[in-house]
Amino acid sequence: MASSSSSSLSRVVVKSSDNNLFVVNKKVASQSQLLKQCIDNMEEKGTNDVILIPLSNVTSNILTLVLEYCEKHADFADDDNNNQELKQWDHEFLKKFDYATLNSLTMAADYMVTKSLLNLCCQFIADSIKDLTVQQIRQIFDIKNDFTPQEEADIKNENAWAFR
Amino acid sequence: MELRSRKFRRKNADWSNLPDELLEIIVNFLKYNGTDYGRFRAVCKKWRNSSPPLSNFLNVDFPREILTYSGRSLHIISYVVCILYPLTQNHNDKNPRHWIISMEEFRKLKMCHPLTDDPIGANNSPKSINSLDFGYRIVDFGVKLRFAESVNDVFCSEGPPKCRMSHWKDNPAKTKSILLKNEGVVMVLLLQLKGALGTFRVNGKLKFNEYCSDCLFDDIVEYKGGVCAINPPGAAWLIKDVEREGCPFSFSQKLSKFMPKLEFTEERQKRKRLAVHDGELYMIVRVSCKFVVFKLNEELGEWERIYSLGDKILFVTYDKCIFVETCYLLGCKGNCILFPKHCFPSVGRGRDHYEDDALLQGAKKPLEIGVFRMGDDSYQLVSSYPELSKLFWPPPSWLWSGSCYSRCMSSEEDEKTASCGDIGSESSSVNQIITNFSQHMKNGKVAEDPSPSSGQKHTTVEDTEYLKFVAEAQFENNGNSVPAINSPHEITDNLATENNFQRTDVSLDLVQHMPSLKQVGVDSPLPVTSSIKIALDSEALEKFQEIGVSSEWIPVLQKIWDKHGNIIERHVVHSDGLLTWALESLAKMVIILQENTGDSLKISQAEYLNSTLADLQMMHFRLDWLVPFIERALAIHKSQWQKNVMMDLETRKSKLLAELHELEEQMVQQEKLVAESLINSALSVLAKGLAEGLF
Repeated sequence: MASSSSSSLSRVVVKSSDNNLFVVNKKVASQSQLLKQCIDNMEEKGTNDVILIPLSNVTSNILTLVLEYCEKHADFADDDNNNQELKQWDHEFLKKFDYATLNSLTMAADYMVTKSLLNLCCQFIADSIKDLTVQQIRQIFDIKNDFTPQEEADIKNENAWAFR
Repeated sequence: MELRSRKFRRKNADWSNLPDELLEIIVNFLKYNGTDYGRFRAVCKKWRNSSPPLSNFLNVDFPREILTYSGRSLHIISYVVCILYPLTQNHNDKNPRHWIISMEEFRKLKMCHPLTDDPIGANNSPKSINSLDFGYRIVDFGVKLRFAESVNDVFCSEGPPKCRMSHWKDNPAKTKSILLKNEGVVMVLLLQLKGALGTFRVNGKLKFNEYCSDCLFDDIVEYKGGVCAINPPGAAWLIKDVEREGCPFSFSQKLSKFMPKLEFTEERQKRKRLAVHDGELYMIVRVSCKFVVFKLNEELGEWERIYSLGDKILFVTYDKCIFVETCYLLGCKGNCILFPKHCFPSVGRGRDHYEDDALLQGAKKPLEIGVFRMGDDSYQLVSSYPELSKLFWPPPSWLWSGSCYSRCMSSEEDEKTASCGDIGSESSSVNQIITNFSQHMKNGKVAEDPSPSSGQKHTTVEDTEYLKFVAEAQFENNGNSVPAINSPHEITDNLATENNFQRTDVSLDLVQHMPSLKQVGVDSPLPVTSSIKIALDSEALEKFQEIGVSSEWIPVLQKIWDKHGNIIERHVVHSDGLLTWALESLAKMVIILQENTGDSLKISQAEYLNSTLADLQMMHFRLDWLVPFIERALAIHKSQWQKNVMMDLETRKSKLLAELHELEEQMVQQEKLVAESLINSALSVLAKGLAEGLF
């Protein structure tokens, strides 16, 4: 019973927080551990209905991006030799977004447990910090300086590296 | 269906409230770079509390301590070769310079020259730098083994056992260590023991297991999870099973056959060197006339010679070869090799034939670097390439503030300070040198005052810039602008004035050109170069006019004497060594003049002619017959150089014109598009609200 039902389930429907429906190939969906878990649970129960997974925390425009990523990575899931092309794609993928989108995407990747996307986002954030001053980092990430003068002085001391 | 519930902000992105686990992932990407990590933690409270303060600047994992059986503790310390760059552009500094240095960390940081590993001044450099203001890009990472109390690497401070011949003893790097992370093993190549190889475990007590003493290697690098070692004939072996005992040839994989034969034969084989870049293995070979680079073709198991390095520069140090992409090096052209002197020692017995001496002669210490261009197989001094030499010296002004400079100007006396060519030096010792200098002039009873030429002779273009740089740094404090020192003549004028500050600078400049002045002492307070020593060591000295001179120069000198008589009868030199040097230099100058047309004279040669002539004149050699020839050569050289500059400017102009043209075309296109879109959108809608007629 379980085996027959699993073969019949090739697609799932994902609902975004603003009530848009996305039909997703199972292979693509399983890039997200959260979706995969849901599918596995349903299959164990032996449901033959179409599975609907509501994601209350992801808006449709962010979900589109996550699914775009999953689709690309599902294509490469079987052959790990194509890494170079995929890396290039990953690199280009994140470049397109502003920092607000990047934030939502990172949160969505975390929420949907898409580990490789989460890592990619975090690395991208880390890289974008690399060539910026503290002031500039606060600017692009829209963060307020909430340190007291005493803390500021501590930070300055901590970052003065002594030479022999 | 139960989904994980967490507060999720949908609207405005709030970066200061990222969940801890996400911040942790981000921090993991930053923790191997002290400046990045420091700045991350300085952004806001939440980010700061997400990660512990960094105990080490370069690498969180080092230094690490290991106990030896004698109870002494051994430390594995980390060092990096890195490019420092400013984060914000100073408004005065349109083209912020990058600086390449090597840093090692053992309780404190130590800055070293990236190629020679000489410490970069203890006195003149800042006592600390604010790491929030700059970034660094690591181009190479390595480990060294130290006892706490020693500055030497562990296996060379033990001293080689007497039964075994010491080897390459002039090479500054005595050992080379590689830490294999997943194995927890350090592999050590003992260069001073002919290249014997051994390992020890990082965990537990230090026990060094040497492989068999017959298997000797020239170099090792980390490669494909193991260690690739190369033996003197050029066969590469991959040692994966590092903890095995016995002969490595028996349990390692052979990667390549011997090095292919080259079209030129070398009397003495030199040490072969390895490099890894982008997962590819390279072998670098030096023959006296050029560098030869091979790349491993693993399928065929052969070394394939490559004739171009593409957009890469190869930095050769005494223990490593490092490829760096030119995109990190701000305006430097690739396809060349940078090397310090004698970095490829010969394998056999006896004294090395040092071909680098002539090339690097007269270069000041931090810039004693040769550049080999792969394109045309040419050797030049690094100072011939301003953009390359700026990578090394002087330190960029943005790194520390003007106040540090005033401190270093009055720092204590230190032998090293002068010999390292550092910025700072104690003013009284400098004055003493000046005094010695002028006294010598008086003793010589000269009619014409040679001091203007002495001020002038060493002042090359880069020195002028260097003086400018120091002057600016000095004045930064007051916020005053400084009149730029533009020409050597102006500097000479300044020397004549009693302006103390300017005088200090000029004399510093002299110090740099007389590295061994202090050792030689009052006996001969004149420029002495390393060639003296070599000439004295040499057995091939013959007597010419009762002065020892290497035999190869005698025919030239004889001709000079035949034509112009005894031109040194009025000389004022006390030391025989100096006379030897002087006569040989004279012969060299004549040969340079004979061998070159005006066009072929290199910058280094022109500088050599200029400065040596001044030196010899100061010794009161009679050179009136030679001066016109040198002046003519320099004049031709100068005009040639100016022609080149002109050509450069013209190329730049045409490039800019092309860009301008392109831009204009784009603007025309864009105008068209704007017009079209205006027409397409109904004009009536533009005037009214956008939603007009919607309902």
